[in-house]
Amino acid sequence: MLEWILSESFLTNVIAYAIPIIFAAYASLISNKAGISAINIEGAISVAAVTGALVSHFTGSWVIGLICAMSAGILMMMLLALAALQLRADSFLSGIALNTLATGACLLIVKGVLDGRTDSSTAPSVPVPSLKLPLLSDIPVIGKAIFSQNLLFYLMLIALALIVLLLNHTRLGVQIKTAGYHPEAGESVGMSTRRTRAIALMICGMMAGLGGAYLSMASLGYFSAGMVSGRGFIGIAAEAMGAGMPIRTTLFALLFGAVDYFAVGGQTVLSFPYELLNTLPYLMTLLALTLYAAAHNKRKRG
Amino acid sequence: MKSSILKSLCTLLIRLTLALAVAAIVLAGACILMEGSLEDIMTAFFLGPLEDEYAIAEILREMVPLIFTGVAVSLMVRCGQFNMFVEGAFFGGAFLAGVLAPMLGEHFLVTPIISILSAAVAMGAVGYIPAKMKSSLGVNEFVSSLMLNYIVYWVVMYLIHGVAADPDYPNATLYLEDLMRLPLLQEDIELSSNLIIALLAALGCGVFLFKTKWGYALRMTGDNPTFAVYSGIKAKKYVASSQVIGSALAGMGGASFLLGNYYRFQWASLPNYGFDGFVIASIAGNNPYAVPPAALFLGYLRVGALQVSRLGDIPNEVIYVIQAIIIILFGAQFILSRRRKEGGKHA
Repeated sequence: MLEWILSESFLTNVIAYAIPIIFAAYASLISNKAGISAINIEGAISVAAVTGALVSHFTGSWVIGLICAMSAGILMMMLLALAALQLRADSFLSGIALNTLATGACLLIVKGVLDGRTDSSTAPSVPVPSLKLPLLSDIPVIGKAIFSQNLLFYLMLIALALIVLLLNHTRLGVQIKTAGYHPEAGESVGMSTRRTRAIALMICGMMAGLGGAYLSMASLGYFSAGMVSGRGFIGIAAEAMGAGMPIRTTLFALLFGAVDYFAVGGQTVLSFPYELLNTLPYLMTLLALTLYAAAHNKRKRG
Repeated sequence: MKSSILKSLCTLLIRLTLALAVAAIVLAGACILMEGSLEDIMTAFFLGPLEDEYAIAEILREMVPLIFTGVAVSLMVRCGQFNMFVEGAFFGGAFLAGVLAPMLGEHFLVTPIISILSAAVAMGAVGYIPAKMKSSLGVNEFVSSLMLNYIVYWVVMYLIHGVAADPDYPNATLYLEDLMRLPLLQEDIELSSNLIIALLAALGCGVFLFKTKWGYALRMTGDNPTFAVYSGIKAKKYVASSQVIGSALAGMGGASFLLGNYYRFQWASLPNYGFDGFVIASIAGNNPYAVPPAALFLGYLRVGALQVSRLGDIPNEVIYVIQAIIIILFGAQFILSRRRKEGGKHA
């Protein structure tokens, strides 16, 4: 088992499994910074996944697929903006509703387009290519894991840099943080909290869209109903533990990715029932949330 | 008291009309997209559920899980808790009943009732995990309860692929003999007595929430936690207990549903009834008394969607879209009406 964990492919796979969780965590980070919780990230990922898979198949272009997946993610978040910001429904309840909507919409789309199938394996996506960086990819161990990954991995790194830049060095970033920390202060100088939150939700949707595209256009190669299986929610948990800090959030998401891969990869390596291995990512999230809250409370008291 | 019941009935009527309008619009939209016949689809949707006693019995069967999960969610939301474990508890409760009933043997009414109560206790105990995490550590119950759902799901899958399985019937629990199940009310249309348990549960929760001290403190904690604490209410206790009771109710619901309408437990995926609980609770305005009529209504829509899917043009999943829009609209409306009330108080 140790041999397996220390192998080169283990690290490569951990990163591959973490990518959708990281995107989900970024989506959650941006929306939480603006003071609105977007629990329909899960649903947005799923809708983006089905959109990316089908569009790339029928247009034959992964670029158009990726753009459409991102647009689908944004659309789902705009629905949340409509419900929570415009209609002033509870953002939690609307999020739950939009997740339900996503479950239905995905099945309707895939069944409608592919005559009653619940996955698109008969219409495989055009995959987003992997990128092998010259020279760097020859470095042992990390060369393969970091420098010859899927294009979306590099997009994720760029997204991380842009998020840090956005939050700390731009006017929009300050507005987003104000909308989260102290909306009244922003309103008093003429900022529209609602508009700022809507913009934050657009970025959030874009991130969710990239996560969905990764699932159906890079990781699996087609859409299948239920393929997101809580990764959106795990991303939200990772963000909660990262306490809104982009790098820390990424690290926690990586950790969850590691457990996720351990559960899947371990099925062939370990002689342990796969059903119980599958509980690991969720158990680990539960445990981490508890420990984090306990440590946080202690710090507050001390 | 009477006028308040009348008033809530009126609001319910307005909400139901609105929901019907939403359903009609979504269906018409789907109809245009899928190029079906609008007249056939509308007839199947609105009149199909009432066409014969079998369709009506189907509505009554659909009501049972909806009432249980709707009441469970109402109770938790009243206390301000968005706990999703209703989904896992319903699943786990059904599984436990499927395992326990054959172990207890064939005893009229005794076996199913003991199984149902044990499922309720067990799921209440599991529900204590997110409840305690929230009340003592402040961990968001939404994320933790979702994680718990997946854990319960995979543990049940493990058990049902192994020790709990019927050796002659893979991936299912042992066959439930008639005496292990809840008796039928009507043989021909297979109407089970679990509907009565569901109605009693809704009534009991209504009394609990509106007529007991505990229920009052629970609502107070949900309406204004700070005020509740200042007035000497131990908010933490109610935050935890509302989630435990809700989980127990959901477990009870799963068990009653299985012992009423199935011969084995062989669900391969989470049934989504927990999320339906939120639809019911939002139609019923989180009022347990209004849950059964809300469930009757959603059951009617469900069977309607089923009838439409039989025509072949529009898949059954269209009901998810209709439900989502209903929740959002009612959520918006609900908050507006609450705001108006608050304004009135200040004036």
